[in-house]
Amino acid sequence: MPSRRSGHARVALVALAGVLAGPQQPAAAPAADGSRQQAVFTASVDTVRVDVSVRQNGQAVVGLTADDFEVLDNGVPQRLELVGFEEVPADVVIALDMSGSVHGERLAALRSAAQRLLALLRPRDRSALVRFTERVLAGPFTGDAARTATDLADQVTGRDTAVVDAVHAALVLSATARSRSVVLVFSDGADTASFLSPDQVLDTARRVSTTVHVVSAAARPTTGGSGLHDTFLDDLVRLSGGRRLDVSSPDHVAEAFAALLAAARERYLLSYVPRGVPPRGWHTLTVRVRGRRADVQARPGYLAGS
Amino acid sequence: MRRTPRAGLACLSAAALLSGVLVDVRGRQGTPPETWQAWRDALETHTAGALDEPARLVAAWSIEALDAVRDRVRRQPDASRLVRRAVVLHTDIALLHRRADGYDLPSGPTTMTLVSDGSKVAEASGTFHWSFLRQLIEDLPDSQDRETVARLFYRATAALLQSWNEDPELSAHLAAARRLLRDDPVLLLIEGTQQQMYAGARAQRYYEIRRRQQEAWRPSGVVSSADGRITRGDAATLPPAFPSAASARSRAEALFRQAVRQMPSLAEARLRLAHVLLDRGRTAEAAGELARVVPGSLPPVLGYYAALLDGRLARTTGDLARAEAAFLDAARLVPAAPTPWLALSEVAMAGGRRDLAVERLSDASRVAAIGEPTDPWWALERIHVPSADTLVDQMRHAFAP
Repeated sequence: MPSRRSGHARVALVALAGVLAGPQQPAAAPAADGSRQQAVFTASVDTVRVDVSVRQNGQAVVGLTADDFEVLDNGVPQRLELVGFEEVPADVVIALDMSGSVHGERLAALRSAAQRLLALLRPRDRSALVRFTERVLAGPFTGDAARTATDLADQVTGRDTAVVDAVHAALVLSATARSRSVVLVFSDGADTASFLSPDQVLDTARRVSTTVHVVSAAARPTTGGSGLHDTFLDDLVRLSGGRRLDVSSPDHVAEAFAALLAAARERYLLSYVPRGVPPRGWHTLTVRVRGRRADVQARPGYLAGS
Repeated sequence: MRRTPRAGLACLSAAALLSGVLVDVRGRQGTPPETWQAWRDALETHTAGALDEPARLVAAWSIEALDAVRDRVRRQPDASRLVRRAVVLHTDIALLHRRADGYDLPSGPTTMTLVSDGSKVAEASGTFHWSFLRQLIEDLPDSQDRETVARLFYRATAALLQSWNEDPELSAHLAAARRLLRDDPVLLLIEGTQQQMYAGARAQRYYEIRRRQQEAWRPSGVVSSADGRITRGDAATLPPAFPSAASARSRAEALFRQAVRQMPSLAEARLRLAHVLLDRGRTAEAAGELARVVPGSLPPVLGYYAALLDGRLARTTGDLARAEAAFLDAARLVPAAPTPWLALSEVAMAGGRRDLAVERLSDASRVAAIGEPTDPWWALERIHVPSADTLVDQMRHAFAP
């Protein structure tokens, strides 16, 4: 059974913030009664998306509207232009460790877990696959989950683990996402081969509107460990507002993936064009729900500009 | 091979005389005359680089047989010539019987732990042909001739052992070479590269797992040492079993510095020195060493290495334009390598150019999917310029009859 990591809320909801590049689809008006709303986008290159978890007594709070939220960007209140909930399609990047330690039955279990995850995707969802050893192979998004499943079967040459490089690839892919963007990473070992540094990739994570969840079958580092990017995955999850689940073997990855995907859908997707804040640099985000004592989780901020 | 007791000579008669003659012919360790002659014949008839009949014959011999041969060699007037031919024959035997998981030869005294992706996957035994050759060379009289033989042999075969990641044998090789050659710059380069490997993520991951295993299996009052023997004592007084990344990098830096002092033109040593300094956060010093290497004068693989280091350096100092130029240079030098494209993707992302980052990532994936040849960056701990194969060929040529 996957174990829940202490320090995170029980709810596997993540907050998401970043700057969209490129034009968005035209907006549809939100429903007046606050019921489920079609995703709304504005045509803007500087729109910030914020993925928010709102839970009360362990349950997702439904039916909230834009007026129920307050978002502060560097302490400045923002005007929200989009509210979406479960119906928002997801662009899911699956990053799978196929290094030397994952072979035979373990590899088969991992492939099966990814296939089961793909089967859970909805018609409007898209998927992309990143497979890695020391090589990183990243495929584009596709609405054809069967095609992604086919790519799963291909072998990847190599034996080492470049998880930092692979996360970079997954984040870059996710930067082309249409709306709700989720990265699911599986690794069973420490990084032994990446060229990029953890700090560089964490910077990328700050820039993109993506929530990263990690399923790990690696042993946790002891205190005073080797320093082999020990805290990278934890930092990544924290920065992106994601969650880490530790499993004892690839046999439990399917369950972990399914849980993370289900929790990822129970979120509000907010959008705004930043006003009254500098265009570049780190932006601290504060997200609240008005008039309600709820557990609200959102990513801590985002990095804009170069 | 059992020693023939000297007491047997005390016997009278032709039988005793014969016994004495046998002791003399066999040597102190009793080499049968047919073994000695067969070995000499193999030296003369072996074709360098070929797994021919002479190589197959000697490959099957025991360590005792070779010990006996060694004892006779040192007493031969043409010992130097024999050793040169032996270097070719026995290097070929080892090289041509090397497999991914060890040697297809009678087991040697060293044990290799096969590590993949930072974890132990198997153990394999080494081969005594290497120690045999080290001993043959060391037995030669201290002279310029021995130094010449040693230099050619150790440079070539240390590079070969490093290319196979055969660390225990490499360590023995380097220790023996140091006794004879002291500050040979190429061997200093190889030893520094060994320390770079110890500092690398793959080795450190393995060491971390071993440290945890040692800590876990330590009931009170009993401590385990690195070689698996159990001793009693205070754990705090145990020496570190495995090098830390910091200590290995420190040692690597010292060795590379020594190498470039001995041979300022040894560009690879200077590049590796720059790499270690960069890893240690000494950016300005790394830049200084890199600036002393003329990019246009380097073979493609070293030019690639230099370009990647230059890109990394520029990235560290925030110079995105220079980083991009350097990584593009690396991509041009080794078109089949994914690493530069991945780095270019990151540079583009850092510069806020998302579309370009996606495009570069696509290039990286396209190249990574090709499979072969491998990216030299991934093999940095194992490769040198000139390559081990080139050095072995040079050695064979130098020792040709």
